[in-house]
Amino acid sequence: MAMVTEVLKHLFKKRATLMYPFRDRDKIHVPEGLRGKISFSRELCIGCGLCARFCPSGAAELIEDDKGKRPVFHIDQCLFCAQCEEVCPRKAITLTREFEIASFDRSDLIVK
Amino acid sequence: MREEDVMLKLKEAFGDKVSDFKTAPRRVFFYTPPEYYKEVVRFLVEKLGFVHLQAITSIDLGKDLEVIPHLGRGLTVSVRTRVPKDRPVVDSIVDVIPSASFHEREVHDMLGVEFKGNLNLKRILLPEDWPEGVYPLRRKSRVAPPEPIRGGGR
Amino acid sequence: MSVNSSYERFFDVPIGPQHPALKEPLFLKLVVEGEHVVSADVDVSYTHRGVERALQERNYIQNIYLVERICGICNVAHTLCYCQNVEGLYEVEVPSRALYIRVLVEELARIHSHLLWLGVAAHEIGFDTLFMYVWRDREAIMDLIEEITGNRVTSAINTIGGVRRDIKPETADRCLKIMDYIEERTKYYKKVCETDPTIAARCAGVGILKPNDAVRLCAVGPTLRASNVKYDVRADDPYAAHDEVPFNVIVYDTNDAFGRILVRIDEIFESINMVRYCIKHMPSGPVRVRLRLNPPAGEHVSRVEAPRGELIHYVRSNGSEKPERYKVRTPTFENLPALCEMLTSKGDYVVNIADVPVVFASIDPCLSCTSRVAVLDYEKETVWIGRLEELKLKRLRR
Repeated sequence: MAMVTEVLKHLFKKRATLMYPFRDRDKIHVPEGLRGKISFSRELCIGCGLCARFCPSGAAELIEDDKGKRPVFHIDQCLFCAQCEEVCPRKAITLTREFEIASFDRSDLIVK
Repeated sequence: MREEDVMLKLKEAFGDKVSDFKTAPRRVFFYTPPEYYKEVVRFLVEKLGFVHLQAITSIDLGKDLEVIPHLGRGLTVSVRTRVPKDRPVVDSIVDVIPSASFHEREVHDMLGVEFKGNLNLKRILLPEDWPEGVYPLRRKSRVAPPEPIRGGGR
Repeated sequence: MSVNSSYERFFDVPIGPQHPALKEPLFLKLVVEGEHVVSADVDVSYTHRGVERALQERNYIQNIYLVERICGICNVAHTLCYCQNVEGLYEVEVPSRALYIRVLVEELARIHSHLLWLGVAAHEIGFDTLFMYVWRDREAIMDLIEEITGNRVTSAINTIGGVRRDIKPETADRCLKIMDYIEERTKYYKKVCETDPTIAARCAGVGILKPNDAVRLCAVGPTLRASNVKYDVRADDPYAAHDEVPFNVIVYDTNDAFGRILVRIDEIFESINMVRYCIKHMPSGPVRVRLRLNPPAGEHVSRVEAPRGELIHYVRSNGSEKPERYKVRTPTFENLPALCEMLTSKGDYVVNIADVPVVFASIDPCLSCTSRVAVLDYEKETVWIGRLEELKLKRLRR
């Protein structure tokens, strides 16, 4: 009974829920520091392996290729903790603001 | 009460039965053999007023098992005691602090320490049909973290 | 445990493991005489994940993120406790701007946790309107945490040596505006809780825990503070910047579930004031101190006032990059003996089966839920299995 006046006031107000993803996709406010999908630039990497050593979930895997050692990131294992970004000595790894990364195919979720 | 006062009072009451003191801001750690463990805990609770039991930790040190109750509100006093692994029996402190029963059940489940005097040592963290004699936190059952699943395709 | 039922007066009612009130599976074994609960025992094995074992197999940096995932709601408290523990092994001083940011994020997490609990407690009583409105207002805090730390739930702002990010001035201004909004809404919810007859009928006099029982059974958190015992880790064993940021320890003397509601609402007001103080008096300087990789051998104990009570972590290190032993004791585990005491009928104090979800929710269990209840009626030789909501309705219809 104590909330009756509040409930009646809300009959004339806008709905609080955003109908994402069908209608209100542009109304989503993504803050600047959001930890989203990893982006990796191969040119800056020196193959130190610190990202693979400190990744909590094993998402960063170190492999050998013709230019030396480099990591491959498996986004389906990633925790989005940004520890790899923090520990990389050459700033080759950044976490972008992209959060819509669901997919039907695991090979979409590999960042080389 | 400051950490040095606790140390002095314990040394006064127990002499060389307590040893290996280490202090940090608002923390006191010391060792006592298992024969005097319950007496020391009773002294801390009844005479010095550390009525609040925070937790009971247990560690597998290879040949011994260490049991550490942590007591206190403002100051934390940790009493370390050590028992051999082939005969891990310690006196229970349930009659001094009733809520120790739950903590001792957890230590019994995880490391297999027997608490003499605690009649209610049922399973608390492991399922009821867990096999007897398998203690998850003991050293020899060491496993590496599982390999991540690397998929490729659907 | 079952009492000798030679009279056939006492029946065992199991509640769980797919659990009634709130978050995780737990098995409550109640022994019941008619409608009154005579005794209770708990079995908490259903969400055992082997975290302490997993912490021994990973290095100290990877463990920050594992400790964070022990609990989604108290994730800030767990990382704070862990980082303080390891910094205690190094015996290093954390810069004071980092301490203020730690207190800021910790108090924001406390506001969000108490609002979440208020909504869930209202849902347990059946007051779904209050539940929905409180959770809508909680979204403002979640968006603020996302802006400050980068994620709504797993904030990961604490690291060994300080915090990972700094606060920008625009974020600090937005934070003050949101604090004003939350304060106004919380005043309204306090008025609703104090005047609404349903909440008073369901919660007053339910789940009584007398002060000497609370101290004897080592209860912690708002469960203890609603029984007139003044114990808060932020005041008795100050950590981070709590010795400089002023606040009051909220205590009520009603000893029941209603008092616990009031304690948590008043703690929201205290947290709002602490956030404002931190922003106004934030010192300048670095936010982090760089440390070498492996901490020295030794042991340390760290305690934090999580939203649910006192949280304690213990670490023993042997100088290598992985901890030798890491122990976590969560506040809900510490409140279990007190819970069993609250669910026991003695003398004039009776506990009905329908009060069980309210009592269980009032200790703010950090566990999760589904709701299945089995009621065995020995007289009619029937078994009735259904959702706890249906059990609540059954009682009200009688």
